[in-house]
Amino acid sequence: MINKVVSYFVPEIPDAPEDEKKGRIVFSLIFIVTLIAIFLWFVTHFFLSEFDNGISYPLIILPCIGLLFLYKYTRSLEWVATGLVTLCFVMLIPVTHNSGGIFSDDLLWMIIAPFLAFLIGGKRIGLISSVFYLGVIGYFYYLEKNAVVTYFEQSNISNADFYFSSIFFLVTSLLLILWIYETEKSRYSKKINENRKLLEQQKEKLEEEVAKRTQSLKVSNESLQRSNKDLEQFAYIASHDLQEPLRMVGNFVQLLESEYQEELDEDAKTYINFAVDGVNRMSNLIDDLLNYSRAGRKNLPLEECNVAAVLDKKKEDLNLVLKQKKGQIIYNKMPTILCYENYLSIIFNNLITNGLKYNQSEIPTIEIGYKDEGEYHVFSVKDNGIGINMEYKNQIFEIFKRLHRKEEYSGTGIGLAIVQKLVYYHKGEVWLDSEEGKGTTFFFSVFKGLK
Amino acid sequence: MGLPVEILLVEDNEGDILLTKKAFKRGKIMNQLHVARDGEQALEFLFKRGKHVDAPTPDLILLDLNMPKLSGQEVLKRIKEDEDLKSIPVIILTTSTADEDILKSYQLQASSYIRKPVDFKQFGEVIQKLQDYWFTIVKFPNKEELD
Repeated sequence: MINKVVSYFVPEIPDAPEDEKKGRIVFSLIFIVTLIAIFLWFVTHFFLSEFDNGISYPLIILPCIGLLFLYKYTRSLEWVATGLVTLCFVMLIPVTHNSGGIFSDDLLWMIIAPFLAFLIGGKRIGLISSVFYLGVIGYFYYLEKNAVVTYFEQSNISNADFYFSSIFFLVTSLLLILWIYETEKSRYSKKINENRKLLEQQKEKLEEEVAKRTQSLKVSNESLQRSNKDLEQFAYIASHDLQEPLRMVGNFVQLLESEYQEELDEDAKTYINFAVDGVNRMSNLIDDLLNYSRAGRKNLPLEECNVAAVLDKKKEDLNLVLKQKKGQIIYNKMPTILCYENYLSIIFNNLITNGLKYNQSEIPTIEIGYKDEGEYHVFSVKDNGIGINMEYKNQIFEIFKRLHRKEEYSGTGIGLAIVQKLVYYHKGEVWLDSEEGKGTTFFFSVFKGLK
Repeated sequence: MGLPVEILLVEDNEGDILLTKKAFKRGKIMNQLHVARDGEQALEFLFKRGKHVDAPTPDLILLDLNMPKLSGQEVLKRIKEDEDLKSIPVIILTTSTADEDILKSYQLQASSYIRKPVDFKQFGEVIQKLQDYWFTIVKFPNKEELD
């Protein structure tokens, strides 16, 4: 039945918070107190009518029922606990006053109130109650001292008893406060420790996670490096080992031609020429494949390089071609930039030679320009050549991609692929602008923050 | 030019051996081409060991880099470490164009580094130039004095 009544005020929720569970216990207690109060009221009223002190006890029932409803509507354990404790005090004060003041045993009973307050309402109400309790002791002491006829004089309590009980109350109260303080402190520090432990655990977890990530990054980086190296190794071996049989084919077909000249007719010689041509082209392709795989492989030093000096040198190298084609290379002021000088030189070389090669102007002209574009150096290589259909602006950077038949323009189609690879090495981009029949301008950028 | 020039060709590829022989035959200079099929044979020949006890000391060595067992570079190293052999010019004749192969060969004191051409006509020219250079232009150390 108790449970039923309690459930009416505090419905039982299986995974209710701690406060709700405490609430149920408090209510059970209050309910039992109420029942006892009713029982006492009956007993004192009907059977022990000479026991006049007991009359006030049953009055407890009214505030108790009030508290039950208070909890049902506020759901605040603190409020109800405060109310309960206050009730205990209020009930006990007149009783204590009548039964001996500072010498009353009831004062000892009153100490239950702060305990109860602490257990139910928490440390704040517990401490307030304790202070209040001390105040009550002080009040009774004051009454005893200033009374016209003291309880001490009325009774046969000895001096020793008086001091003993006073000191006992004081010490007990102080101990109580200390006890509350210590438990709270240890609970508090325990909580801090738990938090710290939790924090450390999380930190460890985090560090573990970071270490794991770093490790996996390292592993994938290593495997990337390895696969890169494997690829280069593959290109090297392939080009080396592929050349050997190719050489055999080429050489022996030619040997055949030279040693059996008389027996071979014109057709046979044409076939042989095709075979030799094919072998030569394949050999060039293999060489270029190796060149491409090696472009940007060496760990060149990053250095300040004078672009004008690089171009001067290039001009010198291309002297013969320029003379043959009556071409010219024009450039004005060039900056000094941080880059991989050898690679920059190859980029310029491939773009300039392309510009001269795919060019049918009377005076093939290559103009090189420079523009500072914030984080990047941007160079342009402009020619007055045959131009490129912009439809192919991306394809031309693919390895071995050619836009012309080999009879028109020779070459394997590796030049721009290498340019792109080396520009990427400079953390830049390469693009172009072209009009067929008028010329092409290649642009490439070099990141300024290379390191 | 009374005596034929002694040449040691260290080469594992039969085709290349044939081609080199052809090319030398077409040349103007009388020569005796000895062939070692791998690095170990080459060393036996050079140090006159085993069945090569009577082998002549070559005037010129043509060395391939990629060979089974002892590599060409290893053979080159051994030759250059030997007091008697180190004055013999060694020409690397190979398919490789890798920078590191070339650099390593010169570091090991190869006399020159020649890439085998795909084209037989070119190959013939290369061998021709080789002969012109080493046997008509360059003066060799006197073998008798070395021994």
